[in-house]
Order: sequence, then structure tokens, then C-alpha cells
Amino acid sequence: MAPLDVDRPYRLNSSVALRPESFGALAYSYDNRQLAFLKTPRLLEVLRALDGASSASAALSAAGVPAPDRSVYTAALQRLADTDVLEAVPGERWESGLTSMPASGGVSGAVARAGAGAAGDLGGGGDRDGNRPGRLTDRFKSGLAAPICLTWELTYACNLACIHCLSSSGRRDPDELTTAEAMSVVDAMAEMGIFYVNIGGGEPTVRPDFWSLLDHAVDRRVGVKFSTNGVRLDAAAARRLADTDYVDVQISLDGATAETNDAIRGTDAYAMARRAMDELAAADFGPFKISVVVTRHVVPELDALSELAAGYGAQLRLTRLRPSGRGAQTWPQLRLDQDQQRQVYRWLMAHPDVLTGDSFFHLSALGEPLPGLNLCGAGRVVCLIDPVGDVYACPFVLHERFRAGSVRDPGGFPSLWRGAPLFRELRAPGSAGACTSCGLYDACQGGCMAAKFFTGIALDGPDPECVLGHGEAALTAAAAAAIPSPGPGHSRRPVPVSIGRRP
Amino acid sequence: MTAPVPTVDEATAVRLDPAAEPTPPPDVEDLLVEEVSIDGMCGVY
Repeated sequence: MAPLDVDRPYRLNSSVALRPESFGALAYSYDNRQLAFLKTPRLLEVLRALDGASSASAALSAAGVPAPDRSVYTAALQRLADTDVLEAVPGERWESGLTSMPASGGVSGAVARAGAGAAGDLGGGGDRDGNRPGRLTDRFKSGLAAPICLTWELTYACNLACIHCLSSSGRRDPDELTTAEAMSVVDAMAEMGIFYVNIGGGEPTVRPDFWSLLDHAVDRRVGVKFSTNGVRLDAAAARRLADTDYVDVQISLDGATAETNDAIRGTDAYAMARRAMDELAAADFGPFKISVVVTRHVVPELDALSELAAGYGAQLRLTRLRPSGRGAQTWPQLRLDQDQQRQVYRWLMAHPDVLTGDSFFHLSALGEPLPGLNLCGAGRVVCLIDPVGDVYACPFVLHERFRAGSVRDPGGFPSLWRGAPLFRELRAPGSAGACTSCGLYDACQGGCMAAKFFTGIALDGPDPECVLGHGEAALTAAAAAAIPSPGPGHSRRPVPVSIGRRP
Repeated sequence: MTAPVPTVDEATAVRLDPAAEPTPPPDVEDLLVEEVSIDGMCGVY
């Protein structure tokens, strides 16, 4: 990596978006999908000052960085340059090794988006101004100007009836957002500086306006990551996706074989997913993702799934099974035992390139933390918009208890994110509750809120899959109490809950 | 009123002022930039 030359002008990479936050800013790269946290407001000022400055040094001065802090800020710029958030402004004078700059800096193309009302006093921050950078997770717990991970389920309609479906999808809801309403939601996301949206369902591609919504999001520079079972992903769709920037695709596959996958997702679902992968590969889409929910039947197939992904040049993504939606009924049959949890932990540690969406953070109590934030992001960095516009704290808690409101409410999604009582509650400092005396609480943070809620365990109780076994006692105690029901959802018909091989 | 003429340059003055010692190398919690890969973060099956 090239050392930063403070006498040279730098600029934000054109593929990077900035969003002010109370602690400084977030910078998201659409190229490498890295999120960088700029942990003082003054560093944001420095980045803004780069636009038009004759050199990095001039930008530091323009932003008012005190002389004693310049080395720290220069190191921060070096790090941002190393990770391609910043790039040197090209110029003949620099390429030829001269060390002075013309009076006009030649800075252009910097991208900066402001989240409405997001920043604090930009001139007052900085490590000598009383704002210690501190731990990221502490910042996150009090919430952000906009979610990092916003999931939007476009429709409850689905051609499949997976037995673990977290949204109990099947039938379209007649009250689903209209195209105009959905377009407005995209606009709100853009205005909030949301970097990307995770689109799911149901099966999102069966919605007739799916492509229009995708194009609108991309036009507004809201990246799209959508999840599909592959039903509509033919050659033409794959070519279209390959030609579109800021779009990621993940294909759902819950087993390395048709036998394992189709027992969960239904007859011929494996073949359908593989055809979609073939089309993406043929269209040279690039590294799409294969998304796998880790059931006890998948654990023996992790290596095979990794090989399958490698064969496509794809990335493997594993997600923890939750007792949500239809999964509430099937979770006892599909969940991992303690030996398998340890096996998955070791496997993930040995495969750091495998994405997990931070969903296995409860396993971090087994040893070295898994990569990621290792915290429950519900209402803090994560939330969900469902097909009828209701907003929930996370994708796994579709229940009135965790409904923050509707995008149809006055003020829409931005108002909910900033002020919904539910979100304020989730962002308030909490206690470790029943886990207070556990020395591993800092590692697992008490586990998954949704997993606790839908198994009848108190929210400040242990995760039902606590690696120390505390969840088992809590599950036994909860069995006598009323366990919240996820409701019938939008299932087309009663879905078999047996994990026996489906017809 | 005429400003006093400095006897040392600014950088030297900073170094001589104990209250303004250069910031020590930051530890992990004090880094001004921290990166996290969020690709594939949570959300959908």
C-alpha cells in the first residue's frame, strides 16, 4: 500500500458514500462492501475539506485539526486510502515525482451525502475536544441516523412454502404497498443516506414492479441486495442484473443436495436454485451469494456447500435458524444441538471468508469472537419493512410487540426510525438480566432477541441456544408459560412441519 | 496593538508545552477509523 503523501491532493473514491452520524460518519464502499466508521466529527470535516484542497495537509488545516493531533488524523487518512475510501488525485505533476502542487488543487468528483439532521456539531468534535472515539458497539447500541441493515420484504407472495419461512409467506396480501408507495419508500431511503437495502419476501421477483423498484433504487443510489429462490432468474434476468451496478443477488439454498434442500424448501427447489446460479454464472454476473439457513441437516454439508460456492466463484453466506414464522413450529426439529453449535463455530473460524450476517454472535461465547459486530442490532442498526409497510425491529420479530409503526404513518419511515417508542426502548441501556453473573455475557450479549421471544424466554434471559446450556433450563421453564405465536401469516395452506423428507 | 513576535516557531512551541504533548499512538479503541465488512449482514433467508 502506498504511503500517504500529505503534500498531495486526495479525494473520496467515487464509489464511496458518506453519511454523517453523531459520532462522526459512516463511509460505505459500493466496490468492496466495506463500511468504515469515522469516529470523530472532525474527521468528517477533514474529508469534506479534501474537496478543493491543494493537499491532504491543507485539508487538515482547513478542518481545524490541532497540530498535536495531525499525526493521528494523518494515520486515519492513510487507513482510508489503504481501504480505497480515499484516492490520490491523479496528475502529471505527481506521477512524475514532483513534490509541489499547483495552486488549483484539481479535486473533483468527491461524493458526500448528508443524512438529514444526522450530524452533531461538526466543529466541536475530535479527540482533543472531549469526544473519545471509543468502542463501536457502544455507539451502535444508542442507534444511528439510519439503519445499516434495512430489510424490505416486498411481498408475501411466494411460489414456495419453506417450512422455516420467517415471514410465513405464501399468499400476497391485498394491502401490500402500491408501486407509488414503494417508490416513495425508496426515496425516503435515499434521503436518509441508506447505503443499501436487503430485499426479500416472500419471493420478491414475483412482484410485477420488482424490476422498476430495483431500477429506481439504483438510480437513487440505494444499493440493492435481493434474495431469491431463483424462480424468475432466467437468462435475460441474469444478463440484466450483470449490467446493473449496485446490485447483489443471493440465491437461497438450504442443502448441498436436492434431498436436503427440498425437504426444507419443497420439491424441485434445489434444481430451480441451481438453474438460477447457472444463469448468473453464464451472464458473468460475478460473485453472487449462496444463502444457507443452518439446520442440523446442513451441518454435515458445510464443506460441500463451500465447494459448490467456490465452483461458481460465489460467496457462501450462512444464517442462523430462528424460531420465527413457520420456523416456530419446525425449530425444535431443525435446530442444532450443542455439539453441532461447536462444530459450526469451529467451521466458521476456519472459514473467515464465509459471510454470516453477524447472525451467529451467540457462538462467540465459545472462544475468539466471530467476525462482525457481535451484538443484537434490532432497532439499533437493523430493522424491517414488511410488504404492507409495517416496520419491525428486525426481520425475525414479525409480531405486534416489535412493530414500530407503518411507513404509511405521518412522517413515514424516517420519522419512525428516529423516534418510534419501540426503537427508543431498544436503544436505551439495558441490563444483562439473568445473564448478569455469567462471565461470557460480553461475548454473546445475551444472544438473539427473536430467538428468546418466540420460545417464551424473557428478553433479558439467556438465548435458547446458549452455548453454556442455560437456554435449556429457560426453555423448560418457558414451556409452561404462554409462548407468543407468530400467527398464521400468509401461508397458502397448512405447511407440513415434519422434517421427514417431503414428497 | 502589535502582536508579539514569536521567538520559536509554532511547532516548537507545541512540543515545549507539556499540556499539548503530541497525542500518543492510539490504541484499538482510540483509532479514528475502523472498518467492518457488512456484506450479507442479517435479514433474509
